[in-house]
Amino acid sequence: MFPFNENSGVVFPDIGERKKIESRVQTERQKFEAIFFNSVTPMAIFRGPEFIVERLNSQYEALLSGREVFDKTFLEALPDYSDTVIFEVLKEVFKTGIPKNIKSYPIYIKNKTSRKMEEHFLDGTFVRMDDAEGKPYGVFNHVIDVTEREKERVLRERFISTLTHDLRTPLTAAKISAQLLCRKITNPESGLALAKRIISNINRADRMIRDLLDSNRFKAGEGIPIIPEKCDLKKVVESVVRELKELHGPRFIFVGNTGEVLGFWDRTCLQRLIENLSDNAIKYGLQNAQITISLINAEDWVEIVVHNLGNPISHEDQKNLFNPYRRTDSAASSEHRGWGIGLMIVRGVAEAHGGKVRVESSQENGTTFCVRFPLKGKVPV
Amino acid sequence: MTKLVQSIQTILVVEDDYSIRETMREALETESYHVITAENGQDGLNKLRLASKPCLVLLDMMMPIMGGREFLDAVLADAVLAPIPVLVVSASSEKGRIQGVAEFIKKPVDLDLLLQMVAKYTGVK
Repeated sequence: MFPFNENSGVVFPDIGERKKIESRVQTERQKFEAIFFNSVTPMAIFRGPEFIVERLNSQYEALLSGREVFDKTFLEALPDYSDTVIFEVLKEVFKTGIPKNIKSYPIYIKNKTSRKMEEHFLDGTFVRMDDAEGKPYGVFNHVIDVTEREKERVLRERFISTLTHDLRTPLTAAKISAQLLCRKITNPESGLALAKRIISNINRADRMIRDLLDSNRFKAGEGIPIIPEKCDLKKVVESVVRELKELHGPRFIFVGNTGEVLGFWDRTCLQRLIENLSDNAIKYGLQNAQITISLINAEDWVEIVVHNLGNPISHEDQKNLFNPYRRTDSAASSEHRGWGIGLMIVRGVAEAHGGKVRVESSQENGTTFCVRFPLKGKVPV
Repeated sequence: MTKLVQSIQTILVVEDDYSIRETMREALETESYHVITAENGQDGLNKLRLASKPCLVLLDMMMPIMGGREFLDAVLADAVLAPIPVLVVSASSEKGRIQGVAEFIKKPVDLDLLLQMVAKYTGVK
């Protein structure tokens, strides 16, 4: 509005003042465009009650998988979004003028490499923009891709659910055995077998708790602490196989034509390594089929080998096999849920002893995990 | 412990964990039941169809190959098997979300409660 002088009528601003205003507007526009077009997060402006796509930055364009959307109404540009929360929020914010944030809403984006549609999750802010007269002009939308956070959340929830389920399994076996023992106290032979089962299952629950604690150490970037002592590896493996037979029946066999395999190892950690590989063989191997644990030694190395038959692990899955919480596609889709930390602990124990793990898997030969330890050279003290 | 059982009654235990399966077998055999065991839902269905029909099924939910839910669907869809009562014994928190079962017993199981339930559904008092 121009100033009005009672004596002389309308007073027009001088040309210098107008230039100053124009310059200021230009600066403000440049600031806005610098933020809008260079932002690493997607931003868009939708105009009018039909939400015509007026401006998008390149990040927002990427979200729309390269669709032709400029100057089209929201429904023309994105007809598949007509029933989504995004469209509802746009309408609500335009009508009320109250800004709104929505969290983790799903959209599908075409993968640039595979060209497949993938589900993404976004956090979005919607703010109404008014014109110079204060009338609704459009809606500014700013989003953040939170797909990774959402995936982590799903993994964490699945992990906790599996953890509680798995901890209850040995507790159930131990509890029923203890109660049965009370009823059978007059039969020493049967009582002894039950007592052994109780001990094995309590040990099993304890190992789960330890695995859980160690997985946190891994996340913090620490390795598994080991306390090496002189021991016979053959005896360690044999004792684990005995306990596995106690827990899972006679399908476990030990093959080791070696004599004593003396060295400096952490006995408890190696037990866990074999148990974790064996648990995987039970969960993902062919039901009821034999699981073989072998000990092979050469002049300067010794290998613990765990073999099972069953569906192979794909080459793609093998790449992520030892990463925390990441489970193979076949494992994640199977009824047998795992924690996704067992193999991470296997690798941690192997590396702490200067060793390495490798896996070989095929339809014909099943799956074999080999952990090779040096017999001389790098032995942590 | 002595128990009066008119004729030996058969119970099918469908449970993938060896330790739990064998302990349940021993507990039930101690109470003079005849026990058949299965390691997953598919194994359980095969045994239901081949062996003499049990008077009760104890069913775990989370199992490989065929889980408890799929097992239940198959049993309920079969007119011969559908009348057999099923007690779900599971560590999962699915109580109330599983249709078509007689009871839901949460792991870790109390043996006395389990045997009470078994007696209730086998008609052994």
